[in-house]
Amino acid sequence: MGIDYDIGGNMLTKEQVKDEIRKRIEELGKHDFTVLDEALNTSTLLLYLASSGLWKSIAIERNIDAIKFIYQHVIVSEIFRTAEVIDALKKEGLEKYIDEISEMFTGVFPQAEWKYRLERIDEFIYIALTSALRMTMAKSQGK
Amino acid sequence: MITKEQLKNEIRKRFDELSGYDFKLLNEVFYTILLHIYIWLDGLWKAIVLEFDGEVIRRVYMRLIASRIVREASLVDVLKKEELEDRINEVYEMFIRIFPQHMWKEALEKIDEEIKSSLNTAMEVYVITQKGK
Repeated sequence: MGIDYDIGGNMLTKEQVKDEIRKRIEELGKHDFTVLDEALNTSTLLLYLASSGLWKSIAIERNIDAIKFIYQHVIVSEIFRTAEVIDALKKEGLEKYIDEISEMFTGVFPQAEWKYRLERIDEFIYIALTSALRMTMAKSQGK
Repeated sequence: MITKEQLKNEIRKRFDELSGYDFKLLNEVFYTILLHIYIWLDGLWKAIVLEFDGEVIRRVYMRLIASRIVREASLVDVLKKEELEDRINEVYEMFIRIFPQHMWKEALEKIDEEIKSSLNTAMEVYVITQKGK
């Protein structure tokens, strides 16, 4: 289940970021809808907890690092949401979503951070997916 | 102009009022508001990250306060009195630090609108789920 992406080079280009995001959506899209829906809920809940815990840094101090942290979660949720509907999307529809996510990613994070942020995003994806798989399995066993 | 004490009482009133609803329904309301927060963060990223637009950030946090009220209200039955007071204080502190006093009344009204509209949406989902459709 663990997805280990090999993100080459230290400084990624915009095109590489887009490809990396596409890779993740396509890979996650192979999972069952129920699992992805559960993972989307988990990642949105993590987003909520982060926004709730960091309110002083964000709303009062306007701390950009805290805001970037929140947007890591938003991007993870966006990746799950797109992967969830991948089968229903036409090729252009999928490209549009990938463009939007990539634009957000490259707009929020400076280029020097792209590789680091992708790695953090992968960690969040892993956490949400693992938790969703456990939850789905428990539900299917009627626990 | 609302005073600090009045504001705390207003927050308490909402906790008490909402805690009378079914837990499942409140959970549905919570997730509905959460979805609204997510959609806003997604749609307003430029204004938040690049422009640091204080008004936009306040609007996001207005919804976050609404979701906190609903979440805590769903737990009222299992919280001890002091724990409930702690939660009220946390929400209250967030509220007074985010909104300047002259905005308190308007912010409370908007929070009420958010809770009411999410409650209506959640109620529809809840009724359908109960009927097993």
